[in-house]
Amino acid sequence: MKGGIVYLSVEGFLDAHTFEMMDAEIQDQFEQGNYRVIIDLEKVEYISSAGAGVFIGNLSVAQENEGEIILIKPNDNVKEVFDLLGITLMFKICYDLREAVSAFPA
Amino acid sequence: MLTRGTLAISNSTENLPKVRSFVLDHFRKGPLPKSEENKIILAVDEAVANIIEHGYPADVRDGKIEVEIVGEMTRFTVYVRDEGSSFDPNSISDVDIENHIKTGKKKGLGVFLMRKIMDEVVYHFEEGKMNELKLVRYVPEKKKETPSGGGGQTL
Repeated sequence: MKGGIVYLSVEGFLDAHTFEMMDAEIQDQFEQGNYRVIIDLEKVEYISSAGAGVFIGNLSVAQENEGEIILIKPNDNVKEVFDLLGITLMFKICYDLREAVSAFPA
Repeated sequence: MLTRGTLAISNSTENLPKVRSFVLDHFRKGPLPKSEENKIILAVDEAVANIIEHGYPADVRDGKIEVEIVGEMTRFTVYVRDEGSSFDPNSISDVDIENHIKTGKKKGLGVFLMRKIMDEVVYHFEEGKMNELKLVRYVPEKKKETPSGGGGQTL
């Protein structure tokens, strides 16, 4: 098993102004060999396609390395954007940290 | 007319929260139900973010972007105008999200969302002068009530 489980808590807006910071953080974890990533979205008030694109664009890299990107606690507005993009079923979305930890591939 | 206003910003993503706040203010005075709020804000944010990213050369810091909102009884209209390169979002084909995931593509989703949310996405440009993107969302029609015990006939 490569790396441990990484927990990232995000706050504020994930839009065209901030998405690069989120992307850099995930890339940084990948470079350290951590491909099992939990991203806590509870404090994210708003997400645009630029923000969602970071998760979309990094998911396959995580999965190719026996990992996963698991999104937890998105609010209704964030979940609505995932639904509009049609990615709700492509990501593991959890509402509890314990559930998220046990959702990683064995 | 329920609400009308114009916001002028420069081509920086730092201004996106200002755009969203402007849309929210007018949305609340406009005709659409609360359930549309996040979507309309998103559609306008995507339109402006596209212009910031693609409309002006990277070294241009004072590119003009204007957002005008007209909220009427039956529809909520947003005009996004700029003086950068012309770009018709309708020239972009729909997104294959599975392919995005498979290939690790992170961008190119904004136009897809804009078209999905709005009833009309109309692009107009005057060569070398101005580009205008018109986004329209109509007020959803209320469902006609079926008379009770009337056998389901719709009036």
